[in-house]
Amino acid sequence: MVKAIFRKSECGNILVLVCVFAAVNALAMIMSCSFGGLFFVHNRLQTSADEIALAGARKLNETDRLGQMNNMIGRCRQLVFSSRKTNDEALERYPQLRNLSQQLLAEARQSASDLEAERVRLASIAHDEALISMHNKFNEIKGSYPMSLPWLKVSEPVMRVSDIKFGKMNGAQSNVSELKGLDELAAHDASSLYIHSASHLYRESINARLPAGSDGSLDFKISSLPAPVEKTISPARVTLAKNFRQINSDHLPSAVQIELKLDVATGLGTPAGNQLVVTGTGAAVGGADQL
Amino acid sequence: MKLTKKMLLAAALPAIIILSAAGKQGSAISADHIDRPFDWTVRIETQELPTQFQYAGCRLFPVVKTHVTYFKTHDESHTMDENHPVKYEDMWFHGEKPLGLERLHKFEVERGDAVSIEVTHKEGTGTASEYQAASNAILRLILESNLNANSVATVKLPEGSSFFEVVSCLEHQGATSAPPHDGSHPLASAINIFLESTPPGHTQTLYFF
Repeated sequence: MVKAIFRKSECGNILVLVCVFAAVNALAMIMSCSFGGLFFVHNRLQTSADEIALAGARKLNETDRLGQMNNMIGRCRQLVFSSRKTNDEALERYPQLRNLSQQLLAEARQSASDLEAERVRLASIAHDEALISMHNKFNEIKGSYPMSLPWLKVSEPVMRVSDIKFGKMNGAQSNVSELKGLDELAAHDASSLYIHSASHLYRESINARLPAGSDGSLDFKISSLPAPVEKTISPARVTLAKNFRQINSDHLPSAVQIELKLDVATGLGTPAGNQLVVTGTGAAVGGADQL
Repeated sequence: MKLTKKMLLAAALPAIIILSAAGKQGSAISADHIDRPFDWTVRIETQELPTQFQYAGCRLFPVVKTHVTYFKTHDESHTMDENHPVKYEDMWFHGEKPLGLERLHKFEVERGDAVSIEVTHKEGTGTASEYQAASNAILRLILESNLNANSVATVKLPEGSSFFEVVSCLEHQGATSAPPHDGSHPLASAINIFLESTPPGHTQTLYFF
């Protein structure tokens, strides 16, 4: 009878073990689903942030408007400088020509002011159009996020205006090639360190004022924008967040950075919530040569 | 020794040949000088840029580019002739207002030489913006030529609307065709601008005081 009892207690051990292991496996699978889901959502959120930043970056230099403005500012400097030299020479040697020379100089100076006013408008236009483009893209994307699964709950992502920054790419000079046609002005530019020696481009984020004198108060603000390399213009692209530098509103923006936030929570066991935060950075299309 | 008619003729013949050759050359030079009384031609080619500043709300659109070259009207060495002009400068305009300049070469027209300024339009007849740009470019080049002691013998404009519109633009920028004068005292203009159409047909003289 004792033998019979022992035989009976050996029966069913495997079943218990299988049930225990099955329960442990089920728990592990659910946990992996949760973590895997979080990982998937995080990746997806990063991709969305990149898409939104790229949408904004594309708008900034649409039709090469920023590049053209930079190039024209560089050439406006030459116009004013040349007109001033001509006027000085006329006053000194041919005073009978002063009416014409002074008229042409006044036109050049006025053009410099008008161009600066237009540059400020363009910065605002580019900024606003990029914002609209990014918000449209965000609205397109956000609706696909919310989900409620037993092991994972995902809310709608959030992007505030304060999470959007305009700036430039670190290390990118302007797209304006050094202009050497006027010797005296070229020497001034070199001595004023307006020219980046390695690339022979005007430096970024400078106010390339003319030599001190009557025209020294005019503004010639040249902004950062990748220059063409062997006639190849760089496309709008996603870039690393660490390469982004915020600028003040005084210069034309050539890059944009946004931050997306997303609330997630696990649905099993002790409720645990968290917020995913990702950063997307986009650089604008590079500048072309002057037409 | 008697001088026969044949001997006289033989003696005179070389002289006759030399004199007739000199006469032809002289008339050729005279005719050429009349046709082209200038040593250099400064050419302004205008071109509207439809994709410059092409964004909504731009106040500087459209933009016209003027490409300025110069060449020797007679260049026996063919290094600086019409087929090998010197690229002098590019300028950009919005209407009559200059926006920018890119100097490509020094103005190396020999001092004292006469120049002719010639306007062409890259796309045929030109647009209103191109006429305005051309007029301002003409004034700037006239000034530079005068400072380099080059007289501007003539300004050639394409026949048709271009001629009349550019003349009108020049007048808008301060040149006058008939200066007010009561005849009581002589007038002295700073610059006289003689304009003619190409092909010939119209002429106009403007004065800048």
